[in-house]
Amino acid sequence: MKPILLIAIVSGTLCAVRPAQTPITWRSKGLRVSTSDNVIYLEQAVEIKHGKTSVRADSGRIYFDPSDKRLHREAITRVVLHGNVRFSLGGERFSGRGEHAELLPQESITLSGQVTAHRGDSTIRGTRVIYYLNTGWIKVSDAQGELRSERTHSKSSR
Amino acid sequence: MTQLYRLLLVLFCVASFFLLRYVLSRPASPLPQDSHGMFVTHGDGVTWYRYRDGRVVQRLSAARATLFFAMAAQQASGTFPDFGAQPARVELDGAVQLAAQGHVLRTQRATLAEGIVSSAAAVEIVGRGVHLRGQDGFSYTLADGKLSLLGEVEGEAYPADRNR
Repeated sequence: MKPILLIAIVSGTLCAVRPAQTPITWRSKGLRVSTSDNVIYLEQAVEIKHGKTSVRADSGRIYFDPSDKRLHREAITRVVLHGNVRFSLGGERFSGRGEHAELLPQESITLSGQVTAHRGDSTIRGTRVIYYLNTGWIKVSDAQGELRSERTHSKSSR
Repeated sequence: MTQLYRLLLVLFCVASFFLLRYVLSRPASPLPQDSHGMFVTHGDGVTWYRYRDGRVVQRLSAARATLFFAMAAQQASGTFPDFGAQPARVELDGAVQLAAQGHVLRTQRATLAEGIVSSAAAVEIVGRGVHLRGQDGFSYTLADGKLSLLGEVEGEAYPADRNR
């Protein structure tokens, strides 16, 4: 009886424990809040961090869902950044830069403009690069210049 | 004796009825039913309310307050009026707190003038899962809730759960 009870307690505890959500943190020089459209405007020297994801830019906007029914609080739905965007993902050794970026938390980050992205020894250039945070897949749109992997061979694409 | 008890019981019920009717007929709070802000003084401090449809939607309070009226000086006779003329400027000092829309803003000093609360002191804003910190001051417009934080600003909030 006692082992069964112990197993039941442990199982129930494991089921009840959910992995804690990681908050998104930001820093900037100056901030404005518009409660009417649920947006925070970050004015200068913006830095966004979420787990291993880090993005810097000249300015940005954080969009909120004002009434996340599951969390019972305001929750970030997306982050849009403009100007001199630099992105890095620790552990994956993936980094990139572009003119604009859109971060969908826990889903993807899209770099646009004149994008250059690096993953390991590979370099990707294009006008739009999407990195899927869950799978690690990279999607390049309107690829220009070259897709190069220095470990094997060079390949040009247009 | 039993008749006396019955008489007392009847009198008690009648008195209770009239007392209850009197209590219920009084307004729950002395707040008028429009959207003007109003000051209520307590001790050295002050609380400013903005209300809409009889409900408080913004509340600004501080431990100490100095009210500047754009009129002839009023004789302080121990208490300031709770209603009536609004001050042109209010200097707030100590435990300044502004509550609105589920968020609470805290700072040590602030000024309320022309419908704008402003300060050069550090500020912290918490509420509804959002946390903001600014070191170089802020301004908050009471009419539309627009907030600006100056200088170095930090913040955090949680992402929406996309697995719903």
